[in-house]
Amino acid sequence: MSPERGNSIGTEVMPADRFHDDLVALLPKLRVQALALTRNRAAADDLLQESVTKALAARASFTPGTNFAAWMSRIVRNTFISDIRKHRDTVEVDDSVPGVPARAACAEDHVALKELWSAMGRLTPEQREALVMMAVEGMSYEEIAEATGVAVGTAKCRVFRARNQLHAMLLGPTEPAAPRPRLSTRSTRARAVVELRVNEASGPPA
Amino acid sequence: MSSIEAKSGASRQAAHGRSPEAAFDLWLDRCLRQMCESVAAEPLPEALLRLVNEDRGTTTDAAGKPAQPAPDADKGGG
Repeated sequence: MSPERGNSIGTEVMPADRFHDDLVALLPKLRVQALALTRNRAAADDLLQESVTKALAARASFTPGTNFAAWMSRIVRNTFISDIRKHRDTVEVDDSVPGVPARAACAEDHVALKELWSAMGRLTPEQREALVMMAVEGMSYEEIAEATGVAVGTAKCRVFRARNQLHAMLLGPTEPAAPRPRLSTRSTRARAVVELRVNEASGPPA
Repeated sequence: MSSIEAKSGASRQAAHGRSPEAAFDLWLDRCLRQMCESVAAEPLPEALLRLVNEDRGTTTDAAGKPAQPAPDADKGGG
């Protein structure tokens, strides 16, 4: 659905200064959303630029007092979907782990993060987006549903499936009868590190 | 409570990280935050900020008043 729809009834327009200030303040979060959708740093910045262009052109259609972050999220998402239709399969997968310089984490952790980033690529963009909104932005299911234009149950389902699929890919399926995927040497090492870190996390809270 | 809701991240985390699922979710969320917060903290592309600031300098608000141009809107972003 176009983000403009539903906002044309009122005649009130958000003051230009406020609109631009709110937009700039929101850009870092929108950049993370774009990265979650594209998994490619360059493509994420292109998506963000295109989305901002659309938002500026559609400024008059935003209704003050409504959720500006959700409005912008829908523009980013709709632009991504539109781009996917136009340029299907032309975006290269970026295997470099974002925001994790080698010096910032020990080598073993870096292996695990690289495996996680790779596994994220096997989720659907919608699952990645919902998971990042919850885990990184701390958004509720209701907020995710509003930002992505789906029912709350759908948002819950996406996060739940994303977590379970990542668990299965990184540590093996939770169902005992399910076949365990064959792993490369790197994946075996990554799994050992993930198991170690998860075990550490399972201790009693400090 | 539905099975999905029962196994959601929030419910898992409510288990104080003692179950394997909760521990995995805790680790997963930490990793995602580590990756994404670093990205969010990086400087935004100059072209993107210029795009917003140029629009800020040209648009008018609802009352027809020109918006306040950004301090660096006409500096060329050099």
